[in-house]
Amino acid sequence: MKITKHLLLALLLLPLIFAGCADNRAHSNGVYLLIDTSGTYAQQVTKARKIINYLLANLNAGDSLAVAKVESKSFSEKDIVAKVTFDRRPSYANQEKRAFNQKIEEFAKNVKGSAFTDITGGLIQAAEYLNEANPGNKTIIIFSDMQEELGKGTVRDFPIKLTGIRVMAVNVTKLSTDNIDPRRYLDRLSWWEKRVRDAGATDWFVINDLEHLDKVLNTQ
Amino acid sequence: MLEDLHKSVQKIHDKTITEYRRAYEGRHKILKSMMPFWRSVDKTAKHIDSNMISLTINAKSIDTHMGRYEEIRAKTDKSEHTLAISSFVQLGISTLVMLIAAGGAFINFKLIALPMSEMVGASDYITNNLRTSDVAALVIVLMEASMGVFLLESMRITHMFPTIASMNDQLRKRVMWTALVLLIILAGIESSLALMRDMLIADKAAMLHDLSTVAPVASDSLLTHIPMAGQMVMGFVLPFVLAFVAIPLEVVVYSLRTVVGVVLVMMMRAISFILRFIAMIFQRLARILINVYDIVIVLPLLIERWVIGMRGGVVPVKSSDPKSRSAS
Repeated sequence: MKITKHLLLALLLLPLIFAGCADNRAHSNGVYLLIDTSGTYAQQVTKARKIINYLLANLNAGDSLAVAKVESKSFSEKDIVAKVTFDRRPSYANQEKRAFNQKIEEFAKNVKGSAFTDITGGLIQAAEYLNEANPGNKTIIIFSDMQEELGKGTVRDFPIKLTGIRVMAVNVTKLSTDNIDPRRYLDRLSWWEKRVRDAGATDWFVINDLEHLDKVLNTQ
Repeated sequence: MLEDLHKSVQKIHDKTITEYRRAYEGRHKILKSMMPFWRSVDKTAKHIDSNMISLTINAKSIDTHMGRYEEIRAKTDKSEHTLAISSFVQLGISTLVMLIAAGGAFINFKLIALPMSEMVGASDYITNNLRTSDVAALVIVLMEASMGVFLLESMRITHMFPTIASMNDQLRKRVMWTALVLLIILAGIESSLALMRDMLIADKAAMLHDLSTVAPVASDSLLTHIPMAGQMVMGFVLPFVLAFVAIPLEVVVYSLRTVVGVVLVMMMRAISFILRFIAMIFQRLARILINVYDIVIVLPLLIERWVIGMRGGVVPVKSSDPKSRSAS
């Protein structure tokens, strides 16, 4: 009788033990998309929508997504266009995705080109957001030509922290100077790879063909 | 006078005939009232006749069973073999049915796993790889199966739980109705979950259409409603189909005991054969080793004798002499 009681108690406590073992956040994805709006690159925003659509279609309930623009000084919450952590229920998550898409549509219509490109500031802001949301898999997608141009007085030449975050550069267009000397383009990408890897990023990818976006989430 | 005599005789005759007829009428009335009784006697006799025929058939069957029982009691090889074969066949058939039922249970599970995420959350995990929604769906399916087991048990179709079997009829019927009602409720829940699944899929498809630039494909409403109705019907019917899994389950439980026993006996026999074979090999190897030792030791012994002979000593006879040992 005593053994039966103990067994019953153990069975009742079993879900609690399992619940203790599980870390729900460990399975979730957090994606922060930085969209370069400087100069002529601002025209590429329509392409960025393709990535956002891909993310909205593939992210699940409980995942987090934020889209921010890269401007002259990007280390600011004001640059976040839209952010959301999807509801645990799929039907609510779908509604949130629709609302998110609406916000992006409005942003794409009214985008204005900025004078400078503060990618580092955007990266620091992204890392801050992702570390706060604390999903299992953190990803920063930089939709830019990766040519950083800082305004006067903007200080970004210090080590940054991207520990445990995957970073990928998407649609890295070649500048006119890159066409003259391709080494400039390759050096630029190498420099950024070194910078993010030194910052503790787990991975670095470059995706120029937007038909191959499956890399964005498939390793998670 | 003769005229008077005739009259009086005639009177007596008439009286007697009247009495006789009255008595006869009374008897006929009694016989008429007995007609239903005779009919029932006739019916009972026919019933007894059919019962006697079935009794004869049953007696033959009992006789066969008793013969088999006696064989089992006597532990004859034939009876053991028959029992084992019968258990293997039963296990095979019921395992096949169970596999089909497992397929049904899997479909059932798939039908409710997605809508369950709407109830318990899609991003909740019990362990690192086990979603709470999947576990909840599995629990529902298992509950349906167990309700089916209780239902068939209380209907006395299966006999796995002695507690239910030994219940009085009133209590057993209560258990039966409770199990049936719970099964119907679970089937209803599953049917509504199947509907929710269809709605969720449609919602996701609509959202993907919203995201894509491609115009949505025009759909025939009837065509879209058929899968939805199909899913709902499947959701309601599958729990009842799953309930019948109790019958093969019982057969598996009972025949598995015999089959496991037979397999264990066969395994033990195989092990004993292998061990005997190994023992025989080692025995022979030991004899070969002794013979090889004898061959090898001959030369040193001869040298020893020769040396002792050279010294003029007597050759001692040792117990380790290979010849004496091999002779022993």
